[in-house]
Amino acid sequence: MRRRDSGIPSRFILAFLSILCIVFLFVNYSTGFSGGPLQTVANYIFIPMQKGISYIGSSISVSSEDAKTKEELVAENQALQAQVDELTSQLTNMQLQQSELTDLQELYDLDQQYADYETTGAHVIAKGTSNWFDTFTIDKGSDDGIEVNMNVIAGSGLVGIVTEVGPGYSVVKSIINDSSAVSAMILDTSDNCIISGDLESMTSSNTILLSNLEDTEDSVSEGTSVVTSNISNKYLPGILIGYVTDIESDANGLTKSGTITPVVDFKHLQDVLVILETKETGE
Amino acid sequence: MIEVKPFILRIVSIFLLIAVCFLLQTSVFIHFELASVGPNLLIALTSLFGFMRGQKEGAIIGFSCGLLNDLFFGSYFGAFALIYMLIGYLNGFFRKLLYGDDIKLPLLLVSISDIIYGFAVFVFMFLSRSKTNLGFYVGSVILPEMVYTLIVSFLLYFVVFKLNQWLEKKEKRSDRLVR
Repeated sequence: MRRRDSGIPSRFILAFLSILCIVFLFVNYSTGFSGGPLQTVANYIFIPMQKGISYIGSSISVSSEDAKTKEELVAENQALQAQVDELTSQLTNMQLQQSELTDLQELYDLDQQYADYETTGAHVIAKGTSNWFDTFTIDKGSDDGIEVNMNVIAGSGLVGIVTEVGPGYSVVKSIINDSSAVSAMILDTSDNCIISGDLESMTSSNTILLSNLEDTEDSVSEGTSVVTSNISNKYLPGILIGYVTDIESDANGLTKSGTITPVVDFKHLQDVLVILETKETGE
Repeated sequence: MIEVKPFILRIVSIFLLIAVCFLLQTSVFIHFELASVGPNLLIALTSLFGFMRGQKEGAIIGFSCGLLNDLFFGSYFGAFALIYMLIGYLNGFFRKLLYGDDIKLPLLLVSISDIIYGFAVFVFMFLSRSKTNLGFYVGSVILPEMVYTLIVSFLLYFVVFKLNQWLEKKEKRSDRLVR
């Protein structure tokens, strides 16, 4: 006690720390510095613990699965069996169509533009501390070949983009984050638009915003698919983002805006896929 | 410069507490979200320590908590550190009002701190991007977060209080030994 009271006055500490923060902000703004060596230290301290906790969490949720009764399991098995049959027939159908498509593509000598991207799976191990911005940490990093600006998907839809990479973890900023913006296009017509995350519409109706859409032929309606555009400088083309839920003309009469529902269920995100490819823009 | 040992003990134990709170907030409470918000343990911790130990320690602990945030999730490195640090410092002004283990004032301070934090984030990171619907953000983020943080702080208060008592006892004892 005595020592602390006779030490440096608190006003100096306040001033020193404030200046330090402001210097950090400036350096971050001008060089993109975000922690450097501190980040590596934090990585070694916190990531293993977060991995452990998320592992325990997932094993607990598995054991609640175990508690199902036999009847439930039998019923579920039957339902699943029916689904398998249905899917098998669908698959055969698809394979036929696929081979037809391949033939036709060969005929046209098309490059497979939307070729299967190489991906790696990762677990979500932690979520951002603030309730304002949607970011999360996954358990793979530069050791697994992940780089900044790689796209992250789950199921068939876009989740977000890698913003920070450490040796054993990466931070992903999701597309519903209030500060995210994705250059997108309407799947059918290739009309470009901007998809931006919005905390307000996400909380109230599970949607994010669509804007700057030039839809001259009025072909966009509820349910139209929206994918990442080929002019985006960070996102690979052709990844499904969501479906239009609402569309209206803007006051200027030229563009339209509205909302879309993302295909990914951001509330229950546990596993994601990282596309091991960044977009080359020739810049 | 004589009580080095209890001083180190204090630093280590506070650091451990911050680490535990950070892990709880990022990896545990995400499974227990209410109205899609989680509690803000780091703000509660900053506020409680500021209240019990004064401006200096409040500012330093707030700075550490904020920096941890920035390291992992911040889009403007240093911004959260600044907000947390100021909140810790401001809470330090109420230190003289600490009477025994009266829980009402610290919890009131935690709530006010969380609301100030919410407003700061709104002004610096939302209003500046012309998102102006304050009513919505108060209703769906700031207030729910405050209530949840308040509930969790009931438990956190006793942890911090006991830890602080234990540390102060150690510090006093070594004081006496030296004399």
